[in-house]
Amino acid sequence: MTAPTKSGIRSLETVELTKSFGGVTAVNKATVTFHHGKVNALIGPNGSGKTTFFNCVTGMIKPDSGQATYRGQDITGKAPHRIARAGIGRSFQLCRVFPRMTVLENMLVAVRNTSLRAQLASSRHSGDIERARGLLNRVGIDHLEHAEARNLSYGQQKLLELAGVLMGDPETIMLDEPAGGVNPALIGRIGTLVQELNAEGKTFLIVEHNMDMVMSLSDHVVVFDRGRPIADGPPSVIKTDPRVLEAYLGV
Amino acid sequence: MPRGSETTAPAGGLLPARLGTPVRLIALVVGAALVLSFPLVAPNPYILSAGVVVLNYAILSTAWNFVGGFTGYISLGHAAYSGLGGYATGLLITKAGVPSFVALILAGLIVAALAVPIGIAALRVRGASFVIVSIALVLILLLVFQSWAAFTGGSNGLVVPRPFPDLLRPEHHMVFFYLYAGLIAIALLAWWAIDRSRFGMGLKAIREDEDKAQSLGTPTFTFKLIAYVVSALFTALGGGLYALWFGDLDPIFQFSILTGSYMVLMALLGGIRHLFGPLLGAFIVGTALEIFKLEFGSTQLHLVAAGLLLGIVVLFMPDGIIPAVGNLVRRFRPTESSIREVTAAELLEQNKARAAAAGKPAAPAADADAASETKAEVKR
Amino acid sequence: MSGTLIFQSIVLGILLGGLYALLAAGLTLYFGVMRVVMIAHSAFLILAAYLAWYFHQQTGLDPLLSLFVTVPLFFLVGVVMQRLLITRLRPATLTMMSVLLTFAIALIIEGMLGYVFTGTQRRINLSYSGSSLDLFGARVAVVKLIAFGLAAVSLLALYLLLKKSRFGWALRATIQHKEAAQLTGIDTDRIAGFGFGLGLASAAIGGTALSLDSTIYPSLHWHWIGPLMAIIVVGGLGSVPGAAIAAMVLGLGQSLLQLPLGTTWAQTVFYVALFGTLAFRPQGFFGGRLAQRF
Repeated sequence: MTAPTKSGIRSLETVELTKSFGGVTAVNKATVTFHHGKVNALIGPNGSGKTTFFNCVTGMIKPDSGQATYRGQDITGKAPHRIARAGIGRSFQLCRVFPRMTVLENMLVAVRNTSLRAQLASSRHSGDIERARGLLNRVGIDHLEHAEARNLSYGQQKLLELAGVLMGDPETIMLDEPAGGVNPALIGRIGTLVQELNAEGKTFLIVEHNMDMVMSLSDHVVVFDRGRPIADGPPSVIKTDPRVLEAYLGV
Repeated sequence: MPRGSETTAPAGGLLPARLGTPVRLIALVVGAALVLSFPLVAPNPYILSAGVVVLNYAILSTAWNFVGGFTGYISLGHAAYSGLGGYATGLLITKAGVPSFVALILAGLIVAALAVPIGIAALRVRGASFVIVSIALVLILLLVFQSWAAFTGGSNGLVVPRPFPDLLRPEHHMVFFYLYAGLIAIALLAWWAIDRSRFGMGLKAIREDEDKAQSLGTPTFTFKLIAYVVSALFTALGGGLYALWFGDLDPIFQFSILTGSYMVLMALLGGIRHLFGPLLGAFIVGTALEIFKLEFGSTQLHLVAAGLLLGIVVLFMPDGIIPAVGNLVRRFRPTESSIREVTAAELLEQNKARAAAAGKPAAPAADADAASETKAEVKR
Repeated sequence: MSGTLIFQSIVLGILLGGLYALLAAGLTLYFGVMRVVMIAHSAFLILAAYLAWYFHQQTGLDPLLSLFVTVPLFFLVGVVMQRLLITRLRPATLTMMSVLLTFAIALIIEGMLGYVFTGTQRRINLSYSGSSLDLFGARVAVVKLIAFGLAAVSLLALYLLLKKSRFGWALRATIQHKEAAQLTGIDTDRIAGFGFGLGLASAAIGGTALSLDSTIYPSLHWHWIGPLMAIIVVGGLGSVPGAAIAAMVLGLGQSLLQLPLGTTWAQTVFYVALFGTLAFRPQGFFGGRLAQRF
């Protein structure tokens, strides 16, 4: 499970990460290494702990034990905004946007500024707006800039969420089911975006059920079952791994 | 506003942008002039004192709106801070001999400092739990200030010496009317500054979806706490001014849940997302309350009226008057559409032209389908 | 401080805790079925007490008999309130807005009580009002025992209803997972209405019990809502056993603290517990993950 990253740069790693709810251990001593600069996929049957793992890593849930590190830096149990500032951006399984803010305002929220002076400056900084429009254009919803996010269709909201994550300029992007609930044309669009962004140097970590998308996009696949990884490797290997087939088809 | 309304105008866009600024400025100047001329046209000292009461409500609900409007955390116990502000001012004057207005400022700062630990405890929970905590806060303070009679005067009240002993009653009211107006102006200015800042954008994101805001890197807890403390500061200054004006403090009125609920009612009625929402609400509810007191005296009917109004606002227009009026205006102006009425094909052409002009290759042809697909999804 | 005094306090604390437990159970029901924090619960409590007093005043009969009117009436009011008012709120802001809505209802009730019955303090005088029993050396007023008995019987009935009946089964399913309950064919809206009705019925019983040994006035409900809110937070929002245990513990605490601190300061035990819970265990001591999110 600890294949060294080829580029030599360490990305997100976890060691024996554990989280249980009541009697159910959702994530059970998961030790996983993701590869820098690659498209990593996290797959597994329903209830295998993928989303809980995701939430533990991004700080939404505090893990019971174990460790998560990002580029060698300990991020275990840190607050979500600290993890975001360490360079990890994330989307949510059921797409989340700020419903009663306009599309442009949704983007401007993600502008990173820590200094007091910057926080008190106008939120409508022309440079930020320019960048936001560029990203909205890139995902294809720039014409909606003044619409309130709640009036967008689900697919548009997904694109907005992705654009918002990009606005924070994270080097690693974690997507929780990017293809969930959207039509095939849009899946293709999101897939293309992921590939383009990856070519520009972004690392991706994708939780996904859509096997076509996973196999065509990813460089490295980690398979989860019962809260822990059971296999990892390139898609071609994973496809034929008997343990994976067993996990998916049941015992 | 009815639920599920599908209007998509930009927030606050009552007027077209190019026309908006001058009209707004004129409206602001006229409104300020009307308020400032009130003491001169008030027919008798009673009406003038009622005006001071309304302004007291206005500063309290505007101060409340720093936390309620920006972060969406509804505090029903904000009377805790106006009460603390009043008592701190009164006690600094009577026990420490501090000059009146120095005491007022000091009281504001002390209460703001107190709001830090209270906020750290209270803001750990959201939604209903936060409301419970805010109610508990005011009940505790009522208990403490009633029981600790040696220090606070208990139920006998605390008499605060007047800052201008030489003034006659009408002049006294007039001075305080302008003091209140000045404090409100400062509070509005601060609210406006936060509203347009990045900090304000973060706060509004917290109101919309706190987890999401945090995952985008907003330090939500710090932001909430700052808004809470600023709110406590202005609320305390309002309470302190009241102590100086009214001159007599009784725990049962200072730490009253009713006062806290008036703040919420006024802000909600006017519109918590709007700068002047609480002010408008305070004007309406405050005036109504004064009339009620005049008409029905000491009966409890004003409670029924306040309760009914709060219920109606919550059920039928939780966004308040200002957005409701805005929607009406927009309905009569059908040409002003906020979503550009452009077909997908036109837009694609525009994008390509723009990209070509910028010297970039046009969007990959493969995306054209998906792009037009998303554009077709715009809800009308 | 003598041993008998402490024992007396313990007995009184348990008796008080029983009433708290019943009322907190009602609050928990509302929160469970609808995610509603019902601020007006204690206002209905005082309303029931007033109705019991008025019933006694007009008929001269035992105020306990008013239960036959108030319990069905309150149940009906609860159902109507849920169906006509609470369901009108937007789901996204339901929890917050329901607090304000029920707060408004509390104001209306308080105002109407003040208008109809004036602010004068009222008290029921019964033939057995002054009598007390000797309980292992502790002197306990008969009316307090009756109040506790009422609360205990109601709580037991509520428990049996929830655990044994089909309705209780559907109610618990609705509380635990509304969507899943709907999938199994439960009409969750109707169940939620009944849950509300049950909650208000518990307020009717509690109010009648309260009227036996308390002086009542319209604004009394503020003295109850604080402790009750503290109890459901300490117990963990949505947990009936949690609320019951917290009610007992805090009721006992209040009663015991009255000895060294006096009645007023003893009330602070609720708020200390509330803030302590939030600081160290925001999800409450017995509840699930619900509390922090609401």
